[in-house]
Amino acid sequence: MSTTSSTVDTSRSSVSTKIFLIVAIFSLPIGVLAYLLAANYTPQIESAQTELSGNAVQKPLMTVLYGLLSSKNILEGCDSGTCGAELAKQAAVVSASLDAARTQNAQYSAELKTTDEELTKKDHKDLTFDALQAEWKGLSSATSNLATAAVRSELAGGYERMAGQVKQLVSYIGDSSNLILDPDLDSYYLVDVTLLGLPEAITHIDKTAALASKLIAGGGNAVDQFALSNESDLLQQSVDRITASNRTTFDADAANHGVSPTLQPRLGAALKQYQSSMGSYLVTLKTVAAGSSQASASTMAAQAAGAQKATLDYWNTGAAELDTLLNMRISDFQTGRIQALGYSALAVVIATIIAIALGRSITKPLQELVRNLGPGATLLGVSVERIAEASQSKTPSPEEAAIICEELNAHAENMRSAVLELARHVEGSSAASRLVGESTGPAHS
Amino acid sequence: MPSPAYNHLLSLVSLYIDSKKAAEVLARQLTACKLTADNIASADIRANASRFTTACGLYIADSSKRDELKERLMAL
Repeated sequence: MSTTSSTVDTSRSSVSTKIFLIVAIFSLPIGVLAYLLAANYTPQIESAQTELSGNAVQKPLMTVLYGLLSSKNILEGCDSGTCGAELAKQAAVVSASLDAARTQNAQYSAELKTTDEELTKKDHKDLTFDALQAEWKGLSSATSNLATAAVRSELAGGYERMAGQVKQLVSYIGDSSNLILDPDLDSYYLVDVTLLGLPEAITHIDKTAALASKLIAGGGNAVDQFALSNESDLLQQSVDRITASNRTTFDADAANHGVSPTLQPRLGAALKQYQSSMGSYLVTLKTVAAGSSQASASTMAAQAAGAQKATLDYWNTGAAELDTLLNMRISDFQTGRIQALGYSALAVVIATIIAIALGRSITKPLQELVRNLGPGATLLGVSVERIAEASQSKTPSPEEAAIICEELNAHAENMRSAVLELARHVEGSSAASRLVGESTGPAHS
Repeated sequence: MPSPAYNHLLSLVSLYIDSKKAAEVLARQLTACKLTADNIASADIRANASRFTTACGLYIADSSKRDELKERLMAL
């Protein structure tokens, strides 16, 4: 029933309306495809934005990790207990960075799933910012009394424990922010450096520094020497892996959303600095492990501190360059989305303009036909009436007969032109030519 | 350029039939009378009022309207 009525409604629509409907029907799939194309960009943009959020929280957390491990190293080299000033300097860094991380986290905790509820639910209650700040409050208040080695050792253990928690939180944010699942080769390998390589390396520096200090102080044995040799190898492997990942980042940069103008100059310089610092630290470690080192405890501590600082500087540069790569990706996707929608809209507009032009070429002869048919009906009716009157009249007017013939002939000519134009549009020029041949004879006879 | 008399004639006829059709019909009748739209005067219209009425009247179904047109043409 509804089909019948809709058919009736369509049949009553004008030709222009029908052409418009045809255009609308063909525009519909273009619209759907444009929507799907644009919708495909949205999750990729959102994913990159979540990665940026993760990176934003990780930046101050890495400084916290550096500050904690540096504090531990300071404590381990603090024989007399007079390292309060150095510790206070690092404590200020940790406090400020922890506050900054908490502020950033408040902004992104929902998308990074780092709210207290989420972390507690995932059995990470010790990683909440409340827990970390409470722990830090306890550690920083304990620095007032560093008189005995036992107290310093216990405090160093506290720093190490908290550093472990911060490292775990960095890893958790790497997972929840999709950084670990980064889809582009350049940023993937940069994430490998910032999320996995450098946090691992800075921990190795801490471990090796502790072992080396022990050996230099004469408190170590063959097992410690072996452990230091082992840890040094692991650190070397870590540096090699970081270097390789960095190289892949450079190589893959051009193929992924364009070349970053700052990646090679800034990250390249930071890598050189890092390699240089790590190189001299590793050389010292190897001589200590071999038992042939002349280095003093303070030299060792300074080299370890330098290596840790170089690691943090390199991490900060890497994180900043990762932001640049992610922003370039977002910008590229946004441009792609706008282009997809723009070109689709352009296709629809062009199709509509062509349809309007075609529609006019179809409706023009029809309008001409309508214009002729309307008065033509009246002309024929009145002409028949006049001819009938003239046939009954005893004095028919030749002038009136001539006028009637002239108007009928003109009307026939108009009709022929309109029909030929229509035929040309409906069946093509050849059919129209055939019609001309068929119709000229009788009309003029 | 069409004369004022022609414009007057055309506007009068256009009251009864489609203006394009009116122009076509008048053009044919002017040719038959050896007149043009540029040189036709009011006197020519009155002189050929019957011809114009006959031709234009073929496109007016209502006979009273045809008579009315004829009267108005004569009055021009």
